Amino acid sequence: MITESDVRAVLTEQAHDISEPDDILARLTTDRPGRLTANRSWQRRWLAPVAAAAAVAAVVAGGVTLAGPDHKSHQVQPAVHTLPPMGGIEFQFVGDLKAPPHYLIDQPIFADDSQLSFVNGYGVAEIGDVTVYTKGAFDPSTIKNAQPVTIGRIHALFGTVMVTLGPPVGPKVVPTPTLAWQLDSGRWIAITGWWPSELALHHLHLDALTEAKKIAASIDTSVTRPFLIPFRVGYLPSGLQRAGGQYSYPLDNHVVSVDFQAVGHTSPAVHIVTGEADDPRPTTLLLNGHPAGIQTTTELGDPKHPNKITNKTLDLVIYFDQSALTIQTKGVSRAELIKIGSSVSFASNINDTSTWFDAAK
Amino acid sequence: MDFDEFTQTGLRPLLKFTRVLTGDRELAEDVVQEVLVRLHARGDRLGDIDHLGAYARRMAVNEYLGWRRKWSRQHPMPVPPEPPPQPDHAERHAEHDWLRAELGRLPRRQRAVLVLRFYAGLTDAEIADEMGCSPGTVRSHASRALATLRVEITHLQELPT
Repeated sequence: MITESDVRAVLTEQAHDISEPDDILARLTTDRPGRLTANRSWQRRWLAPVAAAAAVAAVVAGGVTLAGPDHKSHQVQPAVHTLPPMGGIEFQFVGDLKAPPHYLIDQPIFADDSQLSFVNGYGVAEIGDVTVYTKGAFDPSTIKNAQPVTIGRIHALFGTVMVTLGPPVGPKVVPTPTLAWQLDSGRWIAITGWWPSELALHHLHLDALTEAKKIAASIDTSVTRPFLIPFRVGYLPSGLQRAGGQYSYPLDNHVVSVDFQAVGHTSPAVHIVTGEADDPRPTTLLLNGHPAGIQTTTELGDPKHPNKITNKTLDLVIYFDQSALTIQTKGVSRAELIKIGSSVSFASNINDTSTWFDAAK
Repeated sequence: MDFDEFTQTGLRPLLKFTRVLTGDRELAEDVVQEVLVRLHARGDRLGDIDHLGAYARRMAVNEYLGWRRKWSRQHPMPVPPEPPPQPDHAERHAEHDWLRAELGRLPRRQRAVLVLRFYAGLTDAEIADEMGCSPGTVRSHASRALATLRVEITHLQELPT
């Protein structure tokens, strides 16, 4: 019989598996006098576009340092701009992802070739995924041992797809049950997950096809929904297109991000994210009545060259409604950054999503 | 206590706590780094904080609860590689292995409550204060977590040996 003492023992045992504190301190680097920068594990070992966006969101939510108080604040005149039509991913949710009993489905993440939602079920986090691929991004021939399956009017394929799991459980490739079908728009939607090994750990005797069919039956793919965000950007440098977007995880701290990048590039040129403002910080600008400041962020380190600069960005942080919006840029001049910042409008109440903006417009 | 003093006396306990909290060594290191960066950014104001260790622990809890767990898992591959070897089921059935795995699968808030109660030794009221919720919510998380573990354990004992 397991007792609370066993729980205590197992937890205490894990406490011995740590690095030396000096090693942790050694990874922290100083990008300028008086300011530390973390060197995170995802920087050290593995990086994917979605991970990069989310991780930057975490950095910003965690706090940033602005230019010192010795700089005099100065007012930047409001500028009115209209964002021209832009290519890239479509900021619109495909389908209404209603969850059947025992399940919760997260808001989707926009990636370059898909929108991805995590499925949580029976008390297990991320028991599966629902992915809506852009046209041509999913090859149904990747479904191994595909069998035709009918769910109402849906004609789908069920089989196994090799899926790469990310850290901390990966990266590793595992065969994963997948139910996929093609929408009228030509896109494919795939319901993937219910990893046998994870289910075994929970003693859950769930049949992947049965569960995937339940999810499929609850999804209404005939509708689209807007991607609502608490800000609107009126100006961006030319040549950029929409490259990513996501809500926070969990969805309770108003962290929302969007990415823009140049065609053919793999990392965002402009990453915009909202989050909680921890503390009042020294600011040097006033943009449309909002205090703001500019900083340079330097990320260092890869496994072989821990002191090598891997990423350097010029960031503008604007404070509004007890929140902070950070515009993180690469290859953008200070003047352009301020122009972007001065074009931003904010939702009148960040706690009321009915005041948020449609990211596609 | 200033930042340097904290790193000398408070970093190891914080690292241990965060390792237990997250159940993942690298994630713990990431979370601790974030906490250190944020503490350092407070500069001289750090000395105004009473019980800096508890303050840093609360920062770690908040950081952990907001951290995305699994990144970008969906990458269909055209050529299926060999499936990974199956784990040794006999070894995996060891009681503490199961418990460790179950703890790792708990929803984060439930795990955080158990860690704060059984590892950090906090009362429900203190946990509530740490996590920014009511003591009732703490008890609810603890009850659900323990119920999950007990269910699993009951099932484990029913398995043939």
